[in-house]
Amino acid sequence: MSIAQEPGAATHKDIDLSARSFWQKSQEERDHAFSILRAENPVAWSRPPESDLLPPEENIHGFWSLTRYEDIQLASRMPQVFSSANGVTMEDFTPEMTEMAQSFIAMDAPRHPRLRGIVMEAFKPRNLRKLEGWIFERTRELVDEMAWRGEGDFVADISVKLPGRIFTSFFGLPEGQLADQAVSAAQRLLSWTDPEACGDQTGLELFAGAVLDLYEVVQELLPERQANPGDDVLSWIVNAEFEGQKMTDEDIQAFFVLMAVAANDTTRHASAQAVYSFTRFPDQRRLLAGDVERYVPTAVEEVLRWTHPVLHMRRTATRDVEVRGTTIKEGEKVVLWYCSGNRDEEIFADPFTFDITRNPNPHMTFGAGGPHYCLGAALARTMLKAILTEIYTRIPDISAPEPDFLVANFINGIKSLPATWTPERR
Amino acid sequence: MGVFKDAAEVQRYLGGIFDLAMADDEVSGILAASGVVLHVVYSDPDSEITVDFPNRKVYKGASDLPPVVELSMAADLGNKFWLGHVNLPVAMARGQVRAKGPVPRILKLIPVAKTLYPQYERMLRDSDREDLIAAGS
Repeated sequence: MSIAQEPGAATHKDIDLSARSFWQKSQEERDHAFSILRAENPVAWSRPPESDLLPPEENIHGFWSLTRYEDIQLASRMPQVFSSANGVTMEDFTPEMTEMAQSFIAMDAPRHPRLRGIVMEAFKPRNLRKLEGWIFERTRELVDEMAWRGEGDFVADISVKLPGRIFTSFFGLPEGQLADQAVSAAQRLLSWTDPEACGDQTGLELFAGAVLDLYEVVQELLPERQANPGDDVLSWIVNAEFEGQKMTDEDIQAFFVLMAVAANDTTRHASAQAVYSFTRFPDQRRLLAGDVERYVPTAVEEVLRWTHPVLHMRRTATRDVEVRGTTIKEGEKVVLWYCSGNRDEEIFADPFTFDITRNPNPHMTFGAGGPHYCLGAALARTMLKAILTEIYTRIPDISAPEPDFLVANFINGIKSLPATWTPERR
Repeated sequence: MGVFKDAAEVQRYLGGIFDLAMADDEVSGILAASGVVLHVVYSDPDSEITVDFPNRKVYKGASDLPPVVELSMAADLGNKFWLGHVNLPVAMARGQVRAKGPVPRILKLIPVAKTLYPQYERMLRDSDREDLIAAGS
C-alpha cells in the first residue's frame, strides 16, 4: 500500500491539514506546523478534508501538499501537469458547482486564456494608473467617515467598503439594493467552513445561496447591458465572443461570481489583517507612521506576504509526476500552500518577522507565476497602498488587538476588527 | 428503478401539479408574470414537461416551444421536490439538478411552488398513491 492509499492518516505526526480543527488554530500554530512540514515532509499526503460540500461517500479524495516555495513555484508554472480544471480548492465541489462558481480560474488552456483575456483590458497598467487617483479619493472619503469617531469596526468601515465600491464601479452596478446584494453575497461565499457564518445552514447551502444571489444580480442587469452596452466590465463580458460565439448566460453568471469574489473577498481581508498586524508589531507601525511615503511601498508587500488572504490553490495531476522523490499519481489532488511558501526559510530571511523594510520580497500571495497569477494584483496593491497611506497618516495610533477570525482553509480572513484610535479633528 | 412506473405516470403527477397551478388564478398569475417557459427533462423514467407560464399552458411530452429555463433531474427528485423535501439550490450544487438559462427567474418562483406542495400531496392521496408519498419523504 502506498502512503497515498492510507485512509484516515494525519498529514504528518500530529499535523492534520484535513481537520477543521487545524484551521481553528492561531496563525502562529499553523505557521509552526507548516514549518515542520517544510523541514520534515515537504510533499505530504493528507486524508480527504473534513467537508460537507459533498456527501461522505463522495468525499473520498485525499490530497498532496506542497509546502516549499520552490515546489509551489514549479507546480504553478507547469499547468499542463498541474491542472486547474477539476477545481482550485482543497475541498471538492461537484463538477456542476465548480462550473457554476469558478469560471476561468478552474480551467486550463485554451479555454482559460480566452476567457481571462476578455477582462484583461480592465487590469492593464495604463488603466490602473488612471484609477489610482480615483481609488485614493474613495479611500479618503471612507476614512473621512470614520476618522473622527475614534472607534469602530475596521472591517465594516473600510475593509468591506473600499473593494465593494471599486467592484461596483468596475461592473457599473448602480448604488442600491443590487450592489449591496452582490457585495454581501461575494463576502459570504467563501465562508462555508465558518460555523458562525453558516448559522443554521450547511456550508453547501451558504455557498449555493450566495452563488445564486450573484446570478440574480447578473440576470437583473443583463437585458440592459445587452441593449445598451456601457464602458464597464459586465458590458464587455456580455458582448464579448468566447470560442466564436457570445457567452451563454451560464458562462456569464459563473464569470461574475468569480470576479465578485476575487474583488471583494481578498483585499478586504488583507487590509484588516494589515491593521491587526501593525497592532501586534507596534515598532513597525511607528516606522510606517513616521514616514509613510517612504515605507508604504515595501509595507504593502510585507503585508501581502504576512497575511496571504488566499491560503492555497489546488491543482490536479494530469500524469504521474515526481516531486522530491515522491510520486504523485495522475488524477491526484495537489494543494499549493502559499501561506507556507511565504514563510519558507530558504527564501526569506527571518520569515517569522513582520518587517516592512523587507526588500526584495518575492512573496507568492498572488500566486507563484504561471497562467493563473492573480489578475487583480496591481489593483489590490493600489488599494492597500491607499488604505495604509490614509490610515497611518491620519489616525496612526489605530489599535485593533482582538480580531474575530474566519475559520477557513481557503481564505485567511477576519470577520470583524474592533478598533480604537485618537479621533481626527473635524 | 425510479418511483414512477413510466413516462405516463410522470406526466400524470409531475405534469398534473402544473395543471393544478395553471387552474389557480392567483398562482398562475404570479407564474405568468415571470415570463418563463420552463422545460423540465426527467430521467428514470425519461419524460418531458414544458410549461408556458405566460400563456398558462402545460405540454406533456416533447414540445417545440423554446424554453427560457431548462431543468434536468431524476423523476424521483421531482416527486421529492413537490413533497417539499428538496432544496433546489443545494440540489443544483450537488449536481442532482442541472439547469440551463437564467436560473434565478425560477428560484424566485419557489415561494409560489411551496404553496402547491399540499396540493401535490393531496393529488397523490386522492389517487391512492401513498407509495409515492412514502418514497418521497
